[in-house]
Amino acid sequence: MRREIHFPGRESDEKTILVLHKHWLVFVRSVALFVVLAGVPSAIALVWSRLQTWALLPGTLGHTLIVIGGGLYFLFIWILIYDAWLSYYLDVFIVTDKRIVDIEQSGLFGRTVAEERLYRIQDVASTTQGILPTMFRYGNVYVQTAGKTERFIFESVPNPEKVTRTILGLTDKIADRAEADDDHPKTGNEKH
Amino acid sequence: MSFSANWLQLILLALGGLLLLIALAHTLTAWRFGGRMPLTAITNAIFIAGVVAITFLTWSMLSSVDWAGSFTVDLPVIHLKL
Repeated sequence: MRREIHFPGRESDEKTILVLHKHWLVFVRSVALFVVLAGVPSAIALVWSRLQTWALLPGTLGHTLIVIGGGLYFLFIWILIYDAWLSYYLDVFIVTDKRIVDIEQSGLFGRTVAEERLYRIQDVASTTQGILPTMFRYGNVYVQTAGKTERFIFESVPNPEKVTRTILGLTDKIADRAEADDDHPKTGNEKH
Repeated sequence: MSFSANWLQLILLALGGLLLLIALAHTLTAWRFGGRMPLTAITNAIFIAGVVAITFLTWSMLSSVDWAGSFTVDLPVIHLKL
């Protein structure tokens, strides 16, 4: 099932070639950190209750504070996990047959949409650095353009080399079409 | 030493309310920008279920607290040699 992506200024005849999210491992890594943050106090509480050196009686101030503090803490961690999911889910890089679009969600109410026409692309490069990116085949794709946003960075996308080749293939097609138009200009207006 | 639980209630209710508001804002953001997709609905449902579960668990563990009463805190006695 392919998610229907809505982005500003989408043209009716525009064909979506690639819809890229960050690699799933990026999301798993951030969740793992929050799981550890949630697990450590839980483990301490478990050990504490097993040792039973002293117990907190329900209804006392200490018990009340720990229960409410714990509840708030876990709620906070749960929100952070969902925040990590939202960042993963809503950060999208789109390549169409006419342009590239980089949608970035920063925080709850911050959203940046940058786009550039394919004919403005000057250079495309990709990097894969580190053990995990090499093993799981993900990395950054850098798109150099002649527009306002000089450099697009598609961060931690799967198969960066394939993405690079796809974008270069599309830009080559556009360049070939432009050359063909120059060689055989339309003469429709000359006929009278 | 004893003191009223009212101030504690207020602070914790405010903190809890703030977190619940943030949680609500997250679901709205997901719905607004993620589109009305099954995945958006499923993840939102899981998130809301988690928020409800944590809130309910905390609430149920506090059932024995007498909020109208007061807490007693035993402070260590300090002996001063003069």
